[in-house]
Amino acid sequence: MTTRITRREVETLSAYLDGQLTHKERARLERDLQTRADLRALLADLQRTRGLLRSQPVLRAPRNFTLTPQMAGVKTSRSASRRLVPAFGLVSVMAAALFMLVLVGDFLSLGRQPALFQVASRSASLPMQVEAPMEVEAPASLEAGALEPAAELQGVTEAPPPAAPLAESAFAQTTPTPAPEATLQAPSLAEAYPPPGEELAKSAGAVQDVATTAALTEPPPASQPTAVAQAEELAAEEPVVEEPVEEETRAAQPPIQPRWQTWRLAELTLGLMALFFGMIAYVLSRSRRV
Amino acid sequence: MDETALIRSAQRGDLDAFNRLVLHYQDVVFNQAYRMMGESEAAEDAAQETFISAFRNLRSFRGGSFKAWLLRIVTNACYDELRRRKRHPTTSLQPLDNEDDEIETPRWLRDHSEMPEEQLERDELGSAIRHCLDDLPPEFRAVVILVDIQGLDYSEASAVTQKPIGTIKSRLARARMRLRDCLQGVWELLPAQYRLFIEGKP
Repeated sequence: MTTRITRREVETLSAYLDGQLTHKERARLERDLQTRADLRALLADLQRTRGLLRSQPVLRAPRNFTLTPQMAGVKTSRSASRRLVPAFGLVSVMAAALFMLVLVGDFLSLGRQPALFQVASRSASLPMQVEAPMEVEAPASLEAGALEPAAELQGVTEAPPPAAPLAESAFAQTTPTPAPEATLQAPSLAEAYPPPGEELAKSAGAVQDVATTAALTEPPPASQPTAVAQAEELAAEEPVVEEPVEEETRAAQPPIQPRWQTWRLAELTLGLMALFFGMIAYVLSRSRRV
Repeated sequence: MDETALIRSAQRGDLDAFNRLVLHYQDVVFNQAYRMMGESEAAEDAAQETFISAFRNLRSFRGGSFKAWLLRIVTNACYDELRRRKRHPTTSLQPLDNEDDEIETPRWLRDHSEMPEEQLERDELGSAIRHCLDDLPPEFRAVVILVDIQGLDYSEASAVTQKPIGTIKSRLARARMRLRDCLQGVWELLPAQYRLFIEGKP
């Protein structure tokens, strides 16, 4: 009797070789193997084939397959710092270039600095000089609105042509020679600059003098102090005309020192930045080579 | 080697720990690739790709057999390469013999430390097995390599191929049947001593 081996029987024989059958399946197959020669022959063939395959040596890897950080895509902290080297170098170079620009600018402006220094030192020794006239001017300016005639008087002292006739008539009552007095008052007030106390005292004295003359000539009572204040104001403005350099420097005095310090501060900051970032770039580039 | 600890370290990004696992499993992975691809260079490429892919996807490993996990990656890598070759066939640079068959290792590069007769037998048997394996469909080939060459059991092979055990059982039986037919002539040529040795293997 010839029977054809089914696909299921082949699977059972294959699993039987591997010990993958249950106890029941194995018992039934062993019973069939005793009665069927074709099954026994096939089992022998499969066992041989399996033996041939299992006789193959385990090959050793021809090389190691260990991964490098690049292969694994691992970003190390060192490689991250390496990427910063050009950035640090660039910042250092830019800071150095700016440092040079600031240095050149500083040298170019150095020609003006001696004069500024002189003024700065002079003004530093006289801190109240600038403020003193302002204090005197303050009450005059407050009353300026109420004392219109005094403005005419001031106009005379300044000697502008249009107001001349009126001013002359008005001023003639107070002082016989307005121009010399104005010139006299101006230096006297200008000389009164150094000590503010003296200036105030002189101003008070001047006010008193004018008040007495005003009382003699009977001008409007309210205009008397204003006229004096205006006169002082004029006197305060006089030195401006006579010494323009001093006034200019006085006006420019506050920004002088900060500007000079800004140059130095910028130079220092940029120099330190250039050095600092340059050193970092150098150290990182050195560590890259190691 | 505490494999679990090494895997945990590698999952945290420790490349040294992973490389220790690589050194432990590289022979298994290379063998699988070599039997699947049939040539050394392609097997090396597949093995290297396997370890790179394994490291990058290590977080997806949820425990179980690390060996089976690696074998699954390398088997899939080989499937991909074989499919690519099927779409874009290439001409081999290996030398050809008289019958226009590729000679993987030229005679002038062969190791002569073995006795010539033993070497000839081993070479012929190995060449025959490789040739017969190449004739199998990749799915059958993978299963027979995993079970009969790598020595995995059915459940491990099922884990590697992600197929049910019944499928493994079926594919293995059919693969063995085809290999039996293919290796019939080779068997007859093997010396009796060698045949006895093979039949005695469990």
